[in-house]
Amino acid sequence: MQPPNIGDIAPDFVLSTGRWLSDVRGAPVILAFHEPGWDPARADEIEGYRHLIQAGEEPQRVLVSNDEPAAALYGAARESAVFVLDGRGRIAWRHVAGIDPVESAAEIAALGLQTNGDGVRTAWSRRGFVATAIGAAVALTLEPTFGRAQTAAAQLPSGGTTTGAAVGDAVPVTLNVNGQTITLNLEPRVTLLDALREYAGLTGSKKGCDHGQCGACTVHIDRRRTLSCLTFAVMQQDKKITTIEGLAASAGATGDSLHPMQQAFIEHDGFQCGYCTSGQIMSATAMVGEPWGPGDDDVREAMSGNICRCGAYPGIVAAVQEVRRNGGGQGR
Amino acid sequence: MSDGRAPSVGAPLNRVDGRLKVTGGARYAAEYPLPNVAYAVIVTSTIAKGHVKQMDTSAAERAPGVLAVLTPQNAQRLPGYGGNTSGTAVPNAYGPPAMRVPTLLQNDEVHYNGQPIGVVVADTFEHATAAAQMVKATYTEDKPVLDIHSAPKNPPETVKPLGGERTSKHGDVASGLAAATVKVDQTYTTPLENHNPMEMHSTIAAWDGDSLTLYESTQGITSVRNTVAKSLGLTPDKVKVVAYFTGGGFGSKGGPWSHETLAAMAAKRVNRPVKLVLSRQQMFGPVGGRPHTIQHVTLGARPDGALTAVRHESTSNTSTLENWVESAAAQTRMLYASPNIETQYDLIKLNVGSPTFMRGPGESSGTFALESAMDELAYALKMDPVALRLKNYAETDPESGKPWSSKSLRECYATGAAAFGWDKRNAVPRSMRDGRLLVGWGMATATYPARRQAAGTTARLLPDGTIDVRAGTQEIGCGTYTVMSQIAADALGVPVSRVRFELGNTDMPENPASTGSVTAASTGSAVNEAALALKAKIEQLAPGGLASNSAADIVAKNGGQPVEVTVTSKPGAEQQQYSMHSFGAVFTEVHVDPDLAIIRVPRVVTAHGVGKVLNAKTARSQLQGGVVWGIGMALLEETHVDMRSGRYLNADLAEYHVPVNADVGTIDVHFVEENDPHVNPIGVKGAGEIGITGVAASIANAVYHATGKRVRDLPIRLERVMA
Amino acid sequence: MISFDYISAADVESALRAASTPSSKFIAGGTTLIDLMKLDVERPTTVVDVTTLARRDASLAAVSELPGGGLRLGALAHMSDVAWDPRVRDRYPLVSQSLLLAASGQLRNMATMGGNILQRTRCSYFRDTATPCNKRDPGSGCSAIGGFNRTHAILGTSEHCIATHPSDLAVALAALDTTVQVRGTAPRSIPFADFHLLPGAHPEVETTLRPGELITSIDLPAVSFAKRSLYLKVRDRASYAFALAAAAVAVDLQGGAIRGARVALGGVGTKPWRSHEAEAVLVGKRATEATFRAAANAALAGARPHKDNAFKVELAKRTLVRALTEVSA
Repeated sequence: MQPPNIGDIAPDFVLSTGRWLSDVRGAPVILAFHEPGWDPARADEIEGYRHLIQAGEEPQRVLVSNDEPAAALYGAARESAVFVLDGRGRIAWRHVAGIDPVESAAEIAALGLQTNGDGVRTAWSRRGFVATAIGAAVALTLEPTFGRAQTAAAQLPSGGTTTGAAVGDAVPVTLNVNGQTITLNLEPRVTLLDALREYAGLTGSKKGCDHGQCGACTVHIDRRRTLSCLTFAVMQQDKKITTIEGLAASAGATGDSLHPMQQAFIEHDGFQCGYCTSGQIMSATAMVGEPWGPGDDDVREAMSGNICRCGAYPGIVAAVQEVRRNGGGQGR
Repeated sequence: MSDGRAPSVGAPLNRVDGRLKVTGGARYAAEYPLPNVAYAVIVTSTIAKGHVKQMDTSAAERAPGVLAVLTPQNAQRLPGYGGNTSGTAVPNAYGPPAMRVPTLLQNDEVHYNGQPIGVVVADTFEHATAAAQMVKATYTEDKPVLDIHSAPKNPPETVKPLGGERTSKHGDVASGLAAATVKVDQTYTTPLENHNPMEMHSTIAAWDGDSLTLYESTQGITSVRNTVAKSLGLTPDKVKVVAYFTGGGFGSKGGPWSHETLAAMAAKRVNRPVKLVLSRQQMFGPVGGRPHTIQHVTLGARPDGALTAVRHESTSNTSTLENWVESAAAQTRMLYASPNIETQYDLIKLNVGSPTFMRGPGESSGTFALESAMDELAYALKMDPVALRLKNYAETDPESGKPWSSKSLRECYATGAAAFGWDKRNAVPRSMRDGRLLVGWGMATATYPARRQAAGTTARLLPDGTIDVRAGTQEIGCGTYTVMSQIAADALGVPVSRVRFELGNTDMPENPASTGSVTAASTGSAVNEAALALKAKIEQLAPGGLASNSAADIVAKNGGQPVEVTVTSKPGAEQQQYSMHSFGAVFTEVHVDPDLAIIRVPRVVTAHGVGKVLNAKTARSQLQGGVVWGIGMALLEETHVDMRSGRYLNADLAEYHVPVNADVGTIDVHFVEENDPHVNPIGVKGAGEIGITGVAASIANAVYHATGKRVRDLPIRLERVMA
Repeated sequence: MISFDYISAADVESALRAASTPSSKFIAGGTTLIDLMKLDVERPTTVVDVTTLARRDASLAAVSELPGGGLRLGALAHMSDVAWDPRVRDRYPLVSQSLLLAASGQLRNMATMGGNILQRTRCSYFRDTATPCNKRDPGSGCSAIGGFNRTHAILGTSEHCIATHPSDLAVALAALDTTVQVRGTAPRSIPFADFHLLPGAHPEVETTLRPGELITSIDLPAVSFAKRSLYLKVRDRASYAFALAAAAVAVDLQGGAIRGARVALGGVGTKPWRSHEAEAVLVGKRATEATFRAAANAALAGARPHKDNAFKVELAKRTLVRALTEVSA
């Protein structure tokens, strides 16, 4: 189903409170759909949206739903989408991932939404959630000094470039990350890891030591497993960089499918706290393509550059061996 | 189950948060994209004892992007710091003795090398780190106290182990030793260690007027909230702490240190949200560690192995900021049935970072000494080490005389020994080989208390049928999201997929810190109680409950509102009636190169009785992880401090050796089924801590069996075996 | 980390020009340089990226044949590529082994041949700007002497420095009479034995590489018996740790007698430690444990242990005996 257009009456459906959407008319409503899946951090996203509207704090003014039938009504069945409804229940603004371009701050401002100046303090600009677009745009109108990290984070999902304020000797650095070209304004001393985490909003790659001693920051550069904390981003232009966020897609997985290695890590409980896990999986998927022998001890040796303090090594070895037995599932 | 569904509790379900963790989607503290965030970097001292004379911040302040430099001279005075003349009387949610005394730039004192003495805030991480390196401090330096072997002991009245007394005396050890025909009298030592969770301690502090939000890497959102609020002179309701995922903690994140409040101070100063992530180097000193212990164990036995006397005296170091006791003799008070048991703690103040809980606090270092001594006694008696332990099996708690809430240690020995093949062991040292390699088989007992604290939970039925359950606990890797979902699902008779368990936010009902293996027992009991209460309320609204009514109908009958209950679940009289502990047995095989003394651990078999196992998959992982920690403790881990300067010498993951994948062989975990009707309503005892206990002794005993070399000082590095 | 100018070199000449200032550094894999820049130990104001040179001259990053049966390891070749190269594995097993026993899979994908032999010591006092160190800050004193020195060197030390050279590869190369090819104002060849310097009174000067010179390749000569070679490494962890002791050996065996031998030690020297003394003991003798033990005694005759590393003397001997035993089996 196509999403409703601006000016259309918003399709009605039953909210999780049991009331109909049309019951909450009378004030602007932000309606956000997120892709299926569960994320406890959404609790804060919801709160963030609440703060976007100054007048009143009625919780029903911001509605976040993963109700699939309702999302389908809005042409957002497996997508992230944000609709802003005016007090009469008409669509005043919309953003549906994959369909709409990122809107300008001016356009958001033109919606006439009253916003709370101090309210944008919570974590609503979650990457991958198209709310980032509206969130960032609104934030730009709220916060003249809105940081470039957030700008980058917000714009990444659209594949656009960022326009961070030039600081010191920062230069535009163009990176190919997960098949998208992004341009960041970076000093030469910014490591690839910090570029990903602090400037591009890709926090899946982890900082565990910042000295190449733990493996948590492992990404693929031109198909090889590499420590992103020990290389400068400026040196990795023109290279193909894959992070945990793009791993499944790089192996041809579609929709919600995981890379076989990701699935194997879940099945064999190859992690506990999860902090080393991105690096373990990136290392493991590359290791499968290296000329190691078939044994468990080969995996143990090959994976020894990835420290797991929780001690999930037995599960990690089992996961890698299952993937190797099943033909590799190598995704780069 | 009300609908005939098979229980989910106990099943090896995949983690409900697994997908987020394998896709990079789980958000850790430093990963919340707040608008306009600034970056803070801590400046640390380069002496171990003395006073900061002056801090030259001029270059840093002029550096690009720098927003502020906080020093002891210019930092805001904290109303809740309450410093006395020594500046060390400080608020903390724990209260004494586990105080985690922070250093918050309130005075010029330096207590250890690497102590926070300043904070640089800049617009980017790069600017902040560069400027922090430009800050130059000068000091009035005193000679630090660093050698535990020569420093004076604390006055006894300052030695207060958490939840216990400095000394215990059961019977009379002197007369017990007089009656003994065989004695072991040895000293065992364990070194300084540091937790090193993979995620560094991290805080994002954001003010909204006079309200503060902390995105925190923590095992205890409530203690962070209460302590930071107190330091800043705020009421706790003005501070919100968020931690949906914590990248490991192992005790270091059990409560706040300095950086949380420093981040809040920095954010206040620059009027922007501030992100502060410790460097790996700063994980050595400012955020706790396991103290050095010197443990003197004396055992006396009759020829049949019956223990006539047990004495365990443990001296550990603390810092000059506080008196924290590693309760290394705790297990000695209750593990074996001897008529005469005495224990004692002493403390020595050193100019190092404060010690604190570290995985299996007390019992991990304590079982190394006691269970090594038991092995020595077994050899002295020419008795099988398992048989010696069974001979002294405690049918009731020897210290209190109370019955156990449950104990299946006998079954653990049997299960572990059978799975390991212990009966094929030739007890003579150096008698077993695999090719050139010496093979050693060793064993030890594991134990840890089963504790429970008050915990709250809110459970709601939403119109779409989702059961929303909230408790302000933490997910540090133990599987809390998963097992709580399982508990709630079973109590309500719904599939796990219908439960959404939320945690990690101080807006939720208060729960204990995820430390000391209390989460499953405490939060689990509360979740169970809340889910049962919700079920009863639903039944009241709509007879037949969820099996016969749609969620929408039930909600409609509730005036269109979600059906909601909130409970607080507390331990009761059973705490006084029973002695509550988990037990286990650890069997280890080591291979030792006879020339090069390289020690490897190809195989560990454990059997544990930990009450009800909530999730066979995640519980197994916890115990395996504990064994990995034991391997590190036995063979690798030691924090080195320069004996002149107090500088941490191996403050990184290249030289502080935690085990890597190749250090770990197979770990075969067995659970002995236990139905404990007393310990708590859901019968769980916790699995986070016990896994490490006994492991170091089991490995040391195996090394002795392999080589004939008894190593009483951890870690068992190759030169200690070669010597 | 201080701010610096980043220059991506298009060709060798421009790289040399760009690196002509004293405070400039070449960067390739970056695994040592960036690590030390973060610690404020390295403070270059210009960083010249030479990884781009391989675009113009692929041989700089390749393993190629030399006339006479040797192999040329391009300075930009990654550790992993050299380690897995079939020719290296076949003709120089010790080189492949030394690489695979070093670092981690990720680091081996980044670090290069040229960078590897230039990597700097792991001495914790060198890495900590808050402590004196003659290597980092000439004249400030050596904190390791009289400090904690378990991992420090016992061979080639001076009263100014006892820091261990950390490279495994360099130990294997030392055993093989390798040559380092260098480009500066003019190309030159440096015999491997002359490449690294003992600390002496100037531990801050580690190699005979002149300022601005760039390593272009490491040339392995044809050594007929290098096929029978071994790199044995002893360390605390089973993997991902620096050597406490290591031995690189190659033996030319004829009917149980040793016709030729190469011996170098790692983890114990202030530079990759070739032991001609041990080789002299071995050559002409029968391959027995007694011979190996005599060779080991000769190799360690000059050892000068400090407070915490006395064990390394015996450990190094046993490591060498074991390596010779295995390679002769």
